[in-house]
Amino acid sequence: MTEDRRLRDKLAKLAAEAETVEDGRRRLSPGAAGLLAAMLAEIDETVLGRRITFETDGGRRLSVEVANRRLLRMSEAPDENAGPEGLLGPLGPDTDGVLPAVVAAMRRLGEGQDSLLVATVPLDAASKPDVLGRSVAALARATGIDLYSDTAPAEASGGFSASVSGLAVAVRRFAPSPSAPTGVQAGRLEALDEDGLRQILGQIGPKGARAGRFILLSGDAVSDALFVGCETEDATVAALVPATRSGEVIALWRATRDGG
Amino acid sequence: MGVADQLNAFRQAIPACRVATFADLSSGLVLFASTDRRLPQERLDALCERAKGVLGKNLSNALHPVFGAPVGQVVLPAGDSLLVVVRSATEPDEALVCECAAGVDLQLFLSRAAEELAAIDAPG
Repeated sequence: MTEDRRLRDKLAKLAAEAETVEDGRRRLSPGAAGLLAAMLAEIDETVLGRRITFETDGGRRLSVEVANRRLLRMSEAPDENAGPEGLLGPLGPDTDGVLPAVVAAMRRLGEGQDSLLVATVPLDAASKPDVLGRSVAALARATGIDLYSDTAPAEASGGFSASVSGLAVAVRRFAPSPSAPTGVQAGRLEALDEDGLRQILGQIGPKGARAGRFILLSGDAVSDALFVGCETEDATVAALVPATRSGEVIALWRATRDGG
Repeated sequence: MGVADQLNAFRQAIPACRVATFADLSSGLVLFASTDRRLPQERLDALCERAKGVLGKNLSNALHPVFGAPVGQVVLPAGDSLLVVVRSATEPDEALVCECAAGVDLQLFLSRAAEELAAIDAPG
């Protein structure tokens, strides 16, 4: 099965579980943040190419074309405020000036409505514009809507990306032979005592970890970090830690005996 | 109960869990998300991308012989949070990607997350 087909099947199965259908349409109710936020959330949650039509009980409609969670274009019917053909878009990266009109049209449709009907159909390949579209976050920024109470991503520990990237190289370079390291491997073997390992792993679990065998060594590619491990009763655990052994843990991997 | 409801119930049962997403690691897509407050999609995408980096196919394949078993769980400290990734035992591309407060009972969380994934993947 191709990757695309696999994803389509998965998304279709998941979507089918979640929807309440009325004549092929779903009823979209406003959450705490209102109908506009609910409409934007529809865009935000649409991965595969789709035309989503929002309709009031009175028959006013607004359609958006969406792919990869990005708004490609929008059309309003009846057209009063959109462009010459009732169409806004395609929305490329330089379309900040259009975004307030997009949001205004969505806001107009939702005004005075308790809910909207939503119909979704796949976009045919021919109608997909050759643009990336605009994200819901961009729509919110351009129109001053406060959709999110928290926009700061949690940052990983410093050097994390480089260390993990290098780890794959190191793992391939050194065969895991903890019981009989030879040559260069032996020279690089780092054996932490049980207390040292427990101190490192104990910060983020697992509780009761016992130091067992050390399963990998630091290498040139991860010269600033050590990969240390132990076996617990039900799992093998390994942590990437700074070579300074400052007590931090960069990342911890765990493989359970049952393969989970 | 659908996946969205299951995910909400899972997150709400563990107060230290701020974000719980059901993701496809091979494509880097967040399929469902449950959060204690609305988050921008870019933030969820970033969590998924990080999860893919530490439990994606390349690194997982490299780690498999080291561990002697498929690596199914990763914990990454990130500021005052932990990013916890738990892969499905039956659908290796699927995972729960969660953000928890640093004080979460990790052992319990990993166990509950594995149960949750099994429930999501259960037929019917």
